[in-house]
Amino acid sequence: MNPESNPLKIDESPELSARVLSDISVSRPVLAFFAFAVAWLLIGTVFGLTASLKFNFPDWLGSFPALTFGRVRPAHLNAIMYGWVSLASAGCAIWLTVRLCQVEVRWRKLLYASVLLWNLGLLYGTISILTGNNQGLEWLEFPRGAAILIAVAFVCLSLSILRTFHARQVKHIYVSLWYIMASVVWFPLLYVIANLPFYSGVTQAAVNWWFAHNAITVWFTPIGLAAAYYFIPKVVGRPIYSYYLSLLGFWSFALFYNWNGIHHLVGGPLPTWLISVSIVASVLMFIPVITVAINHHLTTVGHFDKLRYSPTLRFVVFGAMCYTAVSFQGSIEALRSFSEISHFTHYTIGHAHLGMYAFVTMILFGAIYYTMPRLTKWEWPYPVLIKYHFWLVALGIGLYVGSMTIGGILQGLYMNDASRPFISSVEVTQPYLLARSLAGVLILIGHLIFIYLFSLMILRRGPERKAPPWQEEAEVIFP
Amino acid sequence: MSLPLAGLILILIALIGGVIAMAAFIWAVRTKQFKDLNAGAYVIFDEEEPVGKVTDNIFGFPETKKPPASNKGRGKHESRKQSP
Amino acid sequence: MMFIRLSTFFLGVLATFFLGWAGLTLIPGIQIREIKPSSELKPYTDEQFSGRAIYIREGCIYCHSQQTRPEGFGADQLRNWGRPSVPGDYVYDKPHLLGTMRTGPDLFNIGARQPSEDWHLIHLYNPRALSPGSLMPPYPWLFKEEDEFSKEVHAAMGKKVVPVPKGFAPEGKVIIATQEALDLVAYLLSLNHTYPVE
Repeated sequence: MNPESNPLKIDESPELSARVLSDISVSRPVLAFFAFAVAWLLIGTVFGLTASLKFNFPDWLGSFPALTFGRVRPAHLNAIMYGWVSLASAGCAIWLTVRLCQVEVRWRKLLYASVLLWNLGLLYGTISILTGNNQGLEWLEFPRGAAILIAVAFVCLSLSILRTFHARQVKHIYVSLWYIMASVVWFPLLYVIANLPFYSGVTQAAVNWWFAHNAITVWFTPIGLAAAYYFIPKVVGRPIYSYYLSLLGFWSFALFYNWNGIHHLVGGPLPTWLISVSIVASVLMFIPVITVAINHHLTTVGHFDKLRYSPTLRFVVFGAMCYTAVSFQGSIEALRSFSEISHFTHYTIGHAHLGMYAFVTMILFGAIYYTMPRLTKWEWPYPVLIKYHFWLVALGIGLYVGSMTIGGILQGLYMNDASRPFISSVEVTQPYLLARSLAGVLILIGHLIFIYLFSLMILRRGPERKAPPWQEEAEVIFP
Repeated sequence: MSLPLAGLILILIALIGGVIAMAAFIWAVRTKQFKDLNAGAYVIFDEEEPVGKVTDNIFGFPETKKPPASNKGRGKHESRKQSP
Repeated sequence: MMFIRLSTFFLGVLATFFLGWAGLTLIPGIQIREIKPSSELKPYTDEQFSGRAIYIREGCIYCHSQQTRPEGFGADQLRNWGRPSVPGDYVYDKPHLLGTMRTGPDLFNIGARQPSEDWHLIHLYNPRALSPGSLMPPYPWLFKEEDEFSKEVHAAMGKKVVPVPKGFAPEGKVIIATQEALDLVAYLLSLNHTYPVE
């Protein structure tokens, strides 16, 4: 190892594998990303539950402008998407990059700058929404200042990851790296193009939904898949089922998923060919989804007993299964005959949570359970609480998606039945909206448990547990 | 710009893109990039965490067995040599 | 060799991305740019424009769409919500407010369906005063509570008294609409696209 590739000045010790060295080199920045992510998870969950309760008790907190539904809901979305999911994905992407490139992280200061700017942007953006400064575009509610801060933060993250990738010490580029490298190039482009102030009218609607769906295409999903592609084989101790398929999966994903967004405007005042193109692309998504499903699930097959022992595997396999489910659901939902009923209803909200929670968030939980002991050299205290966390959020999101799916379909059927007054489509959803709030409570309790465990890990508190293998390696000084 | 013209340009772009993609694919096959693709699947394992080793067992999984014998591709495709 | 391979990779990544961008935003943008505003569509007045900003600020878009669907796709036509909307109806909209939820009804022609200013003001003050079972939030901060004088006194001071039904306003107080409430209602009443299009 030459001195340039050892910027941390760790004593040259041949016992330390490249894997351990790269873990150490990113421990501080990744912990920073995770810690802020967890903070935004709490904020976002509270906003989400507040918004849900407002459906059950519309006059509750009714006299506070900052807490009206139309402000809390976008605050929830942005705190979760750009706060929790983005920051946790960023931490996960950095950690996977150094591991898979087997080098120390490069341009670490950019990562600190990134996490700082990102949080400033989030704070400014969220306060802006609550005080009424909303840009009026779904998923792009943040005012321009906040958007610029987040864009710069993302560019810093991308540069550090690309520089680390450039310095890699491996011959083969693992499939997770393809997704991450594509993602860090895609998302800054997407975010900047979508925030340009040139659009209006229906063109802006097209750009808006191209962006909102592509944010999922180019950032949230690739990182979730990259993590699943790493953690499932790594925890099980078995290589991925078919590397050939992962190649096909990646390129068909890149080709088709970029065209999906306009199905959000089905039936709307846009050229019909445009909506049709998006629907066709949504159906073509079956190809990448099936290849990924084969790879993830057939790697797990025969190793289900390990789900009992590994929290990471539990969360990640749950997430990977939900990716298959949510993608199939999305392809069917895009069809005109189905979206005639489901469009404009809570069904879409259920679908969104199946994607962003049951798939992405669960995989990120799994990733955090795996990485934290390797970053802090401290084993998770109280394993039983991890089980509570898993079951609370798994049941919570199951109840959430189930109630929104049934309630949404009923809502759509009533709405499309002109012999019923419109208000009947509101009244029919009420028991399901109540179930949704209950699901939100379960999820919030699960998150509080997770946050408690996470704080113990950061502070290295709680009962010291039997040293796992990665603690027995030589003592190292944290940079 | 009229719609037929826009359509024509789109078809042209698609054709050019298709030709480039096809060329890249043929080039990749010619330069044997698809040979031995599966080796990439093994880069996540190393000496301390070989195939067959479970790396997360917080809930108390018994110590793992030896790696299975059918461990093709390992060694030959050693991802990174430890420098002395 | 590795350099060429990686260049190919990143080229492919950029190509797939920009292909989607061109297909979904650039080409429709060029096609739509030629569309003229519908002949009877008027630009927003200052008051309507300020009202539109309140509509955005309070997040009305999260429960109300502003687009009517064609015959045979949903019940918009059967409910008499107005002819299917066309791109020419939206040329003055920035940001667009098409919406993707109908927790509440579509508002594309609410100005025609419900032309009463008083109805909208009461409904904004407390939706359940007019439509029981509604889940819409109240917007009391768009109104002021003032001591009860005669209607004439308020009118003389240039204030708009909202005729809130008994039991929905505090005893001995009258509800006065602020300029924000009046602007928002002006905007809602401007949502009237019942003119014909080709």
